[in-house]
Amino acid sequence: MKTVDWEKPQRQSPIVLLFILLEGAKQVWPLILIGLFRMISKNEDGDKPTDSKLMMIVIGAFLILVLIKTKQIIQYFSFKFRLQSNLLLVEQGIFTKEKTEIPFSKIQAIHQNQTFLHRLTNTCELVINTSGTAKEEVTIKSISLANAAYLKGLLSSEAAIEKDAIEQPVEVESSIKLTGKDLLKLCISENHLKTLLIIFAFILSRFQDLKQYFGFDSVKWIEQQSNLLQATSVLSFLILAGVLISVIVSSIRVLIRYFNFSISLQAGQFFMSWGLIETKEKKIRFSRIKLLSWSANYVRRKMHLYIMRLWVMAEEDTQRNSSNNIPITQADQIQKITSWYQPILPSSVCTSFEIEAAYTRRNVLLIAIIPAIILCGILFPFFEWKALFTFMWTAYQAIRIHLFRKNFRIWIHVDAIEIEKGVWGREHMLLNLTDAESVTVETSLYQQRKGVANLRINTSAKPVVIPFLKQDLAAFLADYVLYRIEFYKNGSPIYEADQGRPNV
Amino acid sequence: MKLVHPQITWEEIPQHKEVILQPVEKNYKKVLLIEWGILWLFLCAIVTALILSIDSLQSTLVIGLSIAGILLLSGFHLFLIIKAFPQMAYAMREYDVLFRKGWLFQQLHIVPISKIQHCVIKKGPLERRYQLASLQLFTATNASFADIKIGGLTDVQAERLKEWVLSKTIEV
Repeated sequence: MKTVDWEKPQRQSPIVLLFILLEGAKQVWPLILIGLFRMISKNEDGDKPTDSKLMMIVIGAFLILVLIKTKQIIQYFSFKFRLQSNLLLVEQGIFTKEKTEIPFSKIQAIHQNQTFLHRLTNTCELVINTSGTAKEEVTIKSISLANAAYLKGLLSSEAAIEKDAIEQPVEVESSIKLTGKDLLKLCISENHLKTLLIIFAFILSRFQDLKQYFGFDSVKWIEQQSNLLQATSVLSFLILAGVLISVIVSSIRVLIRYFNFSISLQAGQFFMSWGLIETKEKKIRFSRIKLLSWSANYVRRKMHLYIMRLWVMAEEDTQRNSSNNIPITQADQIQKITSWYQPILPSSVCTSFEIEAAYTRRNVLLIAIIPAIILCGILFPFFEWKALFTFMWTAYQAIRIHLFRKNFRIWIHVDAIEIEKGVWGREHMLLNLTDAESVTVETSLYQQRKGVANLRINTSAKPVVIPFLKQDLAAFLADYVLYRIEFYKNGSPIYEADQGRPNV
Repeated sequence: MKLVHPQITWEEIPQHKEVILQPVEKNYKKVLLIEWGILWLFLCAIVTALILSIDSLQSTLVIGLSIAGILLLSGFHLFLIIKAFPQMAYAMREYDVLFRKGWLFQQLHIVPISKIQHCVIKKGPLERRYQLASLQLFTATNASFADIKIGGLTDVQAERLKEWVLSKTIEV
């Protein structure tokens, strides 16, 4: 094997150029086909296509291809990477030069991908992640397999990659199972209105597709039907049917997601299994969980039901990823699950802070009053006094904003922060301060005048935002979070235990 | 599990308010102003092209409103740049990097060095003309706005700051 001097700048394999052109060809082939088709159509009218015309089309297509791929071609030539002591250096860009330096110790994962073309050319793609987020920092689009193996080995030897745990029998520390009664409660308390709206939006979009494909004016048809329906009792029947369907659909959704659901804590990881038709399983290592939240809508809160969400690093759209959700059906389960992350729930031992009243005043003005005045002004010439109904928006928003501020609670414990928020429902967030990545203190001109500030604690999962705190408190909290990060840097000095939270 | 719960006094916690922030290079204001000029020139060109190519837009009212709108928005944008520039400042402490920006909405961003994953130095054509560079410090946060981008450093400052951060990161 040819020895590579990794200290000298290396380019990606020239195969990348082939990939770029093929990818471009995939994008412009309809254009070429249309060009050829039109030429042949003309030919039928007696206008013979000449070789030069065909050649023009080929050259034209190639030029378009090169033009649309110019950026990627330039990127290929400007992309260079090299190794220097314990750093991976990547330089790219022609007009805007970009130099990325990654210490080996910060590399979290190295992925080797191989497409069919890679296999044909004996190359592969190497994706090097550092942050643990879904965005990859360095992608070497094509590198020979031998070089990839060498580079991977070299980087992995010093990287912070977590080796997969060796499969071995593990003792179950704790486990939670859903009973039939729990499932029923979850089905009843699901947000049926949301399901109804989703179904309605889905039906409407399908109707609009009909118009697009067949010229059928669905909106007009719906209007005609509604006019007919108003005169009959069918309307009330349809409303009832809609509600029933949405209850059935949302119950099916709950059943699919939570049927036979169980969760157990096993040697540093959660093990979840569920499934109605096929059983699904998921393991989540504690060290990958960076934030915990549990929430309930109004009905579920009354029934003491919560859905706990495990915010995992490197998982994009965790918000929509319901596979990290755990249904909580008994109050003590929250403490049971959170105890590995944060042994003491701040809300159980500390007094709470509130956000400042300026939050209500500012937001009522910006969200409730100003939009209503503008809308009323626009509508008044058409609807006269009826336009004043827009101020119902003001009343509703004022109540909503007031309740949000009233319900917003912050508890700060020695090594964690917990917040509770919500208007009708509630959401709790629990962050161990060592999982904070950075902090931001934000102040608008209004906030500066009022002596308040927003505090944003950024994590690798989701930021925790606390609005309208007293400026001194926000500054203190920011300092405290930073202090805690440094305090914990080389492990946890707080818990002298054999089963304490694993050092992250 | 034995819980050790040491008391912490306020004095023990270093306060970021006491840090003296260092303003960015004055030449960076020129870069921002040139960028402002290019942006609004480009937008003016688009508006002009639209007015010239669509007949129904060629009325005194539309042209007047367009000019007024462009003047108002570009003026406000310029005002924001001028007011926000003095706020742009940064500082390094033993364990973190601070960066402040914004006037209407001011942000003070503090990134612990132990949380920095990698650094990027960026030099655009205008920045190169004034021997300036930007240093971006990336953490593991999911949101790109949560990472620091310190603009308006000299080439040398950016390199030195990057070296310092990297050496600290490796130490950690």
